[in-house]
Amino acid sequence: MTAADPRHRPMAAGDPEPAHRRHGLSAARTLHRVHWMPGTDRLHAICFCGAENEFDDPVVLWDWLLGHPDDHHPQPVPDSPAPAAVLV
Amino acid sequence: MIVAEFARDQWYVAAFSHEVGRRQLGRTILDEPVLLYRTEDGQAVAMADRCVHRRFPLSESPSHLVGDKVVCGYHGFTYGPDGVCVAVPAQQRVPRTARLRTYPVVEQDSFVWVWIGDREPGGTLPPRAPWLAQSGYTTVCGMEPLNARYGLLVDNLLDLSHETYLHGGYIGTPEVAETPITTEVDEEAGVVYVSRHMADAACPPFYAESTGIKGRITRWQDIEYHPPCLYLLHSRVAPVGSPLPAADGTDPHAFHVEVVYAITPSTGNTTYDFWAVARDFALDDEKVSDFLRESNRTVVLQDVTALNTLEQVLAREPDRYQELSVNIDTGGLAARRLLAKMAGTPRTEPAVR
Ligand code: FES
Ligand SMILES: [Fe+2]
Ligand SMILES: [Zn+2]
Repeated sequence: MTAADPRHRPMAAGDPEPAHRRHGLSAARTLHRVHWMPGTDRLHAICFCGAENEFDDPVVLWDWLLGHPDDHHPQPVPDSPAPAAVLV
Repeated sequence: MIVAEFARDQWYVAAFSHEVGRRQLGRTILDEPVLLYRTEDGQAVAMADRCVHRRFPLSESPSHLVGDKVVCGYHGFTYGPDGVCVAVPAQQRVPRTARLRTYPVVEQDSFVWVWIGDREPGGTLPPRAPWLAQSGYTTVCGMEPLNARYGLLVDNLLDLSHETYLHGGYIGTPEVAETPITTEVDEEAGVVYVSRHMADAACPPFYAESTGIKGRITRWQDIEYHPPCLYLLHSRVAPVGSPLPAADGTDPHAFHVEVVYAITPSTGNTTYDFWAVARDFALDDEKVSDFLRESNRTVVLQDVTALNTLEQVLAREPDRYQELSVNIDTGGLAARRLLAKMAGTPRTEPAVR
């Protein structure tokens, strides 16, 4: 893979584009994404099914994310941080 | 819990290609003693490193190669590259069961990969690290033995926040620990991605001295971990204000360093830490090569020292110790989950932490 390979285009600073797009995996059906929300201590998790949730403990986060489809009801994330513990 | 089980039926890096030659090389991989050598026509072969007779290691002198065959240094049992015993001292009959187990081998990207497991690899190929043997890049590399379980090295590499503390003065600057990360897991492909993009960061000596950049930099770290064995760190460094990569993927205004680690479990508490650093600049500059080789080896040894200490601590601790995880561990925790799944570890309670 060279720098000229389009799969190797790094994301821009702060660009939320997922790394997998650079690697030709955009069709991945099982891609879980976690963004550390800038300026906060919170983690925003997005399941491939569209379900989203916020956490402040990465262990609880992976339990939820990799537990798909348990508790995954795709819906917009609430404005205020959701309590993490409820979703274990 | 740090993953302790081995994932079998997987490709593992056994050696760099340049390490395998007309001298036997012995490596222990997933607790299996493996003998590596090259036949006269250049094929790398891998087989069990224990003579079937009295178990003498075929990698140990006075065992030796004669043509493509290896002769046991104890009583002379002789084996072909297919592992079949062809001669036994002082008798005509070679017992039918006298054969060594052989391992599938793939030589790719400057690594010799072996398949450790019970089933055959079929069409499964090792993941790629093409820069290590590709024109347009210059690579330096090495291997450091680690007296710690491989899971500690996986943890270490998936969380680069430690650069700021353990590798200050080499690759660490304050921004590394301060910048949030994005983590992705592709369960189907079995890959963990961790990205940290610093828009305006100090340039650590590792990059300042190799690239010649004087001021502050944009510094991108994009990790791709292909469990169990291969870790890629795509590192992009450019002076602040340099143009971003073009839409077609070219990126002429930045320096690129591809840092590669092969994490090969040897025994339950020892690991082979293969490392390589490929760069797309100063290709023929020996001084830059020497500097990067020495600096990266120093950085690797800083990790080795820390992880060896950690292994001692963990070995003395009860199994059920509850460690604490925070946001910087998001990628490492994901890697542990994939590894545990590959190792077939049943999901016990508490979940793998
Ligand atoms: S142990 Fe190898 S020939 Fe006896
Ligand atoms: Fe390190
Ligand atoms: Zn889901």
